[in-house]
Amino acid sequence: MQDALTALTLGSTYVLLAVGLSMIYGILRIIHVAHAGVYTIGAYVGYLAWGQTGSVWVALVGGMAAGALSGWLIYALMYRRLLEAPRYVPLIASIGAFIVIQDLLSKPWLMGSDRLAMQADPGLPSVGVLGATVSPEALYVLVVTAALLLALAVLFRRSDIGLQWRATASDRELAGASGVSVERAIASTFAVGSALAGAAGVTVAVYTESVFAFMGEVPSYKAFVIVVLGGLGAVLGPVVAGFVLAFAETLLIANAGFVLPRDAIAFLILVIVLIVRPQGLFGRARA
Amino acid sequence: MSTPSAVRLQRSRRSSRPPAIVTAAAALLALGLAACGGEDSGAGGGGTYKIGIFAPTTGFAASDGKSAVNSAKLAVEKVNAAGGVQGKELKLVVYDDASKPDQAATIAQKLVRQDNVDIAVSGSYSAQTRAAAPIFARSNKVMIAAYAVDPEITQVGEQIWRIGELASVQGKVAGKLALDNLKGKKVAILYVDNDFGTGLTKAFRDYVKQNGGQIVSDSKYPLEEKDFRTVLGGIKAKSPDVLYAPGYYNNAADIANQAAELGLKAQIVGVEGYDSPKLIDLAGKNAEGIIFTTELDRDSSNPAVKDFLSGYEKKTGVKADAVGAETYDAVLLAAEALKRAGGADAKKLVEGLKEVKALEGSVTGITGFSPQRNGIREGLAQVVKGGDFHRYATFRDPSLITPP
Repeated sequence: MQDALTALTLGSTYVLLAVGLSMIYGILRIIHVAHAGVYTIGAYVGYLAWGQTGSVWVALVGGMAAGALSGWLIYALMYRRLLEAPRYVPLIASIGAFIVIQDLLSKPWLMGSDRLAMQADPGLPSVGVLGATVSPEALYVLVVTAALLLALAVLFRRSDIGLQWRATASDRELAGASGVSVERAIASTFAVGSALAGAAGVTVAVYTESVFAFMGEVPSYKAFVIVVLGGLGAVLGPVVAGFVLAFAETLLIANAGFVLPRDAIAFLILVIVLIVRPQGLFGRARA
Repeated sequence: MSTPSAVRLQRSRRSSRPPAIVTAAAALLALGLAACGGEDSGAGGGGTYKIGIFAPTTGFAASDGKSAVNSAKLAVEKVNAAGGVQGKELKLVVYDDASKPDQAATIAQKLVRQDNVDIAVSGSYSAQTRAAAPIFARSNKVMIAAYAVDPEITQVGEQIWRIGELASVQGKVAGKLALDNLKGKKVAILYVDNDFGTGLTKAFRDYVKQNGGQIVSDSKYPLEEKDFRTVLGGIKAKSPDVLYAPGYYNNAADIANQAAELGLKAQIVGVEGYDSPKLIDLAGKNAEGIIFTTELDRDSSNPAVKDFLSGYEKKTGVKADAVGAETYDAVLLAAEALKRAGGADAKKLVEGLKEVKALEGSVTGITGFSPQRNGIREGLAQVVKGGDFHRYATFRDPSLITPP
């Protein structure tokens, strides 16, 4: 049971990062590697905000705002100029942006390359569930994830902007011709998706009690595995895929120990799924 | 798909003759790299002895590398302030190996051929030191490894010496600590999967088995792992008295934090990789009570140790650690060898080193060297108490602390 809770918490952090990535891929068809850079920025701003106020909730808001802003900036300054370029151009630009973000953050005059301690007290209780315990930090991760995913679902299904996102994602030109402000739909997708990445950064910082400049390295490709597993561009897909991956990792480690690095497990699952179901777990097969 | 291949074609056609600007830039870059290497490119001899040192001042082990280099500088300042070695000043030639063995090998070549140093010090981990050692041995230069634990390092030749404590010694000391000092009956092991963790664990495991301890759990983890909750949960279910967890301070902080989160009661026993103020920084109150084997005694009454601890903190603004102490001793030993040899002749240096018993001014308490050129000292365990490291126990039994 404790393992199930661990997997659920781990999966939550995966999902928060992957959902935003999937939304952005869905609307622009861009492999947005710098999403993990946004996640790192979110974590650091959360860390600084927590340092000032001692509140993980202020940290969350700060991290999400920083995420939204930096994600939108990456779009406005970079991708918007590359929309007509061949697909590998934004990909390379994105990898470049990610490296720049990490290297800048690790400079001694900014945040430095040392891992910084963030022993935050979420002010939440420790909850017992069927003989297992949810620590205050884990509870924070679970509460934040549940609230944000719920809000996202409402936004997607019940709001104008959600409708515009879905329209733009399914056919950008047709949506534009039907009166959707495509520009606004794309920019807001970036802002919202990146705010989720910022939230992911802050929750991971609280859960692992630390931040460091290269914390985005592993998540940068793991989020992709989850997005591909979930079926590119879908939103429900990566949610399920994120939890599936976390449970698979935890199950394997609980029963066999670290027989292979945790991150190799993700790719192993990816390879198997791509052989069996090339469209991903939840993607529709192309006609 | 036609575009990338077109790019590739274009590039391969061009690559046979790079544009002049690229060649020029490459040449400039090469010059720049060559120039920025050694801190001293002046001629050797004259009034100085040159000590070459490599350490990971960038990359994941940067904090250890910086500690090593700063401590080496401190030792050089100390020796020079006391008049140098027979009137000659010591000078450090510093290189960053970024924790890469191939880079360490290149640096070793450079220190020998280009900088022509008189003696070398490794301020780096085992893999880098192992890559550099044969190059120094073949070139007949003496190298002193500060804190690399791999036993094979000194076996490549009589030119290679070591200050640090062998994994086989430190693991045994931890075994004694777990069974006798801590009265552990059921022992769990969780170690980092590299030569550091494997070597320590092998010695610990053998000692515990031979002395009647029961190993209830024995598993390893990859160096970059950050989530130990699942394995710690499994360990908790076996309710061990002691958890022996060889690794580095980063791993140790995660393990301590998550063990506390899960309510794991076992006494954590660590290794010299824990010996960094960053452990207390990252694990806070969860670090309290952790006991680990190491080489730097914060509660020592020895003036040399007190001097080093305060001198290091004054120089860097942070507290000293074992890696620094060992590198400091390595430089002192280099100076001692030069003094005894009366010059930089390798044969005389080796003869001189063989004579060294208690190293004067040593901060890790070197009392001599074993036949395989490994430093001998008392075993030592420190404990985290009140946000600081303090002495927990010392071990004098020769069967325990004598390296091969």
